[in-house]
Amino acid sequence: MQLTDKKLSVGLALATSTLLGTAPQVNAEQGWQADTAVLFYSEADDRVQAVEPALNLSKTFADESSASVRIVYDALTGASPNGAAVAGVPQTFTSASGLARLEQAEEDDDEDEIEEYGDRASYTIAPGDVPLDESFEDTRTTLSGSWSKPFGNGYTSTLGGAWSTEGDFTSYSVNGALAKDFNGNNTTLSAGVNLEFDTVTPNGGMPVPLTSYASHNTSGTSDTKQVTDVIAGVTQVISRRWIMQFNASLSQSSGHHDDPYKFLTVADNGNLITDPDNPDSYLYLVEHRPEDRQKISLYWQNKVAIGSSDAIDIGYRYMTDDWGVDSSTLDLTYHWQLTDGLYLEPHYRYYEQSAADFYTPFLQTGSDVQISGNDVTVLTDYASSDPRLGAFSANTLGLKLGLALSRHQEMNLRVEQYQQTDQNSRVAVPAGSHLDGQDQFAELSATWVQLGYSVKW
Amino acid sequence: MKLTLLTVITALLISGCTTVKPWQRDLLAKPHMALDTDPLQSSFDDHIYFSKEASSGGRGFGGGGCGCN
Repeated sequence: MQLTDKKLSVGLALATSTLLGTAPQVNAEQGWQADTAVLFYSEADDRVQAVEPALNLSKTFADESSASVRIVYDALTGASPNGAAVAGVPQTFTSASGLARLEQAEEDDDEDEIEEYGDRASYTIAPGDVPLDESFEDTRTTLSGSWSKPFGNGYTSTLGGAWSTEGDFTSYSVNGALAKDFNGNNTTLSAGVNLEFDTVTPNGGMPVPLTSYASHNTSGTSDTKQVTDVIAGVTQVISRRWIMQFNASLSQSSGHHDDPYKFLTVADNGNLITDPDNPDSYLYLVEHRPEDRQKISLYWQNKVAIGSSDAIDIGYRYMTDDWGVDSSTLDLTYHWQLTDGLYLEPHYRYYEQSAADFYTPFLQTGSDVQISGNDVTVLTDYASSDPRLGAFSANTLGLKLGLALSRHQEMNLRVEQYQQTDQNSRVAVPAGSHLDGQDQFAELSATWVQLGYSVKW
Repeated sequence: MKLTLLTVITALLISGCTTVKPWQRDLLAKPHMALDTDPLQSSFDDHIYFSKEASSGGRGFGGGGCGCN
């Protein structure tokens, strides 16, 4: 029983590293553990497709300290909504990022890329279709690590860091946390802080917010954002069958939050209007978000053993931010141990969020934009039509199958299906106008499959 | 809503002061009873939801390190 107690104690102490998001697998036994997985992610309607291999290597030492490193590679292709409204007329866009890639290809004299980006730099969307920018293509590499060490008197400290890079974005973060066990290892209090530094370098330069998209006005080539997260949590053993965790966290983000590739349609009585400075294009304005964002999250997780080898996991998160987004997330997983070496885990997740204050499917003349002759005056400080900032609910259904190959090896396969449902109130437009009867929110549908293999030695 | 949640949690914490002894931890020590049984899976999901929704974090620090804000 000594070992069991030790296992649980370390398990609780690892609540600290769970806070860091780079937690090594709960593995109280001394030795190595490797977790590998590959994720295949696919959105409906030829939107984003991704393949993500990942490796997590962790070691638990004789003094119960542990270290882990993780590498994740992400290859993304496909199309992403550019922010323009669905309309009853064809719309042609010239993508700044596509043009930048085309220019680079011409400089490199790369004929294949010239052909590829030549088609993507300018694209036309058919009436009634969601305007998608097909030049979305990126790779991302993330390296992270953490080190956790128990001291005397029930204290455990954890230090960690992460580095992530993609074609137009780089991020560094460092974090630290401290946990204290009380009450015969039945209670663990933990607190942590994470500092993140991001740099965005958009293809085609930094667009000037709320100016004509077709004009491609830029201001410099990059911008930055800093994020500070603080989190405090308690993990409590309630009974022989029940353990729970409660976390409260605060996140303060300052700097550049705009999506450099998204813009909004300007409509006049529901009709698209010609851009005064670019007569070949309708008028679209580059989106703009506030420079600061503060988020508060409350998270509560319960894990209850059912019978001798099953378990139910119930999690709830409430989040609110000063952009006007409130969200609730409910997550349910049942661990169903079919035989000693085989388990099934059905999973359900429900999510809903309200829209950010500055979210709108399109801008309107009069209330948001004033046009007099060739002058376009924007009357709003911030605006975005990014569906991620709109009101929606989402259901995820999943199933995982785990198979023990031996006492130290496991393979697993997981499938998840995600579906968003529009919850925005519809903006009224005059009958017969370009925007009449068109969708105002692009609901996302995605499926992902994960194949994993873990081994201990 | 928030108040109800806090009240329930406080009540649970108070009731949780009944100490579970080491020899009663057979079930809690099983790997599937860990709060995060598969950290790689959690990080994949956190990244997907961070990319497609306006919320992040809760269990741990808000998933950053991605231009997909």
